[in-house]
Amino acid sequence: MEKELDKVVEEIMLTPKVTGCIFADHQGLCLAAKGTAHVDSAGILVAISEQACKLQPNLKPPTIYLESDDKMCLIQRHGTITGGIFKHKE
Amino acid sequence: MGCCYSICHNDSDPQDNVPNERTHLLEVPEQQQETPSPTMCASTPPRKPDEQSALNRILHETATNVIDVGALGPYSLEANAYSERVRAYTARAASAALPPPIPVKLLADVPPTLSKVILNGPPPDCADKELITNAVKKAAAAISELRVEHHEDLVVPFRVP
Repeated sequence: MEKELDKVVEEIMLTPKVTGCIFADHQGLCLAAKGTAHVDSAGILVAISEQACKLQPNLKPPTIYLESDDKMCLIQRHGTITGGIFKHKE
Repeated sequence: MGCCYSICHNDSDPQDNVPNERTHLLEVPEQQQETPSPTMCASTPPRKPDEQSALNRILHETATNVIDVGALGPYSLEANAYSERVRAYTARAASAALPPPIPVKLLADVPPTLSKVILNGPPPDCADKELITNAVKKAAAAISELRVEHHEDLVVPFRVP
């Protein structure tokens, strides 16, 4: 049933330096999570993207970068789906 | 009470023999009918003054417990007493001063010097943006294709003739 989504997740995880990947629907329900991405973070991810979308509501949903010294998290929304990718920095 | 009512009104009812909604289905012997009625009828009249006195007592108690603020006169305080109280209260408040609450900040402001360094730093990598954009697009497409795959018939016909 969710083979396609699993395939996409596997593909993303094969990308160098990517440690985790998560997808959630507009209500914060986790649809897929793998690696360092925790299922519980789905709601927070969606909330962050929602707040960022409020900055300029007429434009496309922004890409959000959360950085620490050695890791980063990318968040992006597309339609009702919000995705998050965790990866090591250069 | 319904029973009592029917008993009390039995005698005065002109249609005694005509069966109506109050007619007993089973014949009750006179002795049994008589026994509860005297106690009921006897106890009712003396109870009335008791109830009245009880109600009066409740009313009185409620009246004593209620403080009618509107009826109270204006509360005046002399200037001397007022200043004395102010001094006493301020002294007490100063002695029992609580430590200032620690401000809770989830997101603290970055100092201007540091913020300049961050903003002058290299912008986020375009490859990263492409990675997340493509990933979310693909995932959205995959999710839109989610279908329930049934391996058996969803509707099972029963052998109904």
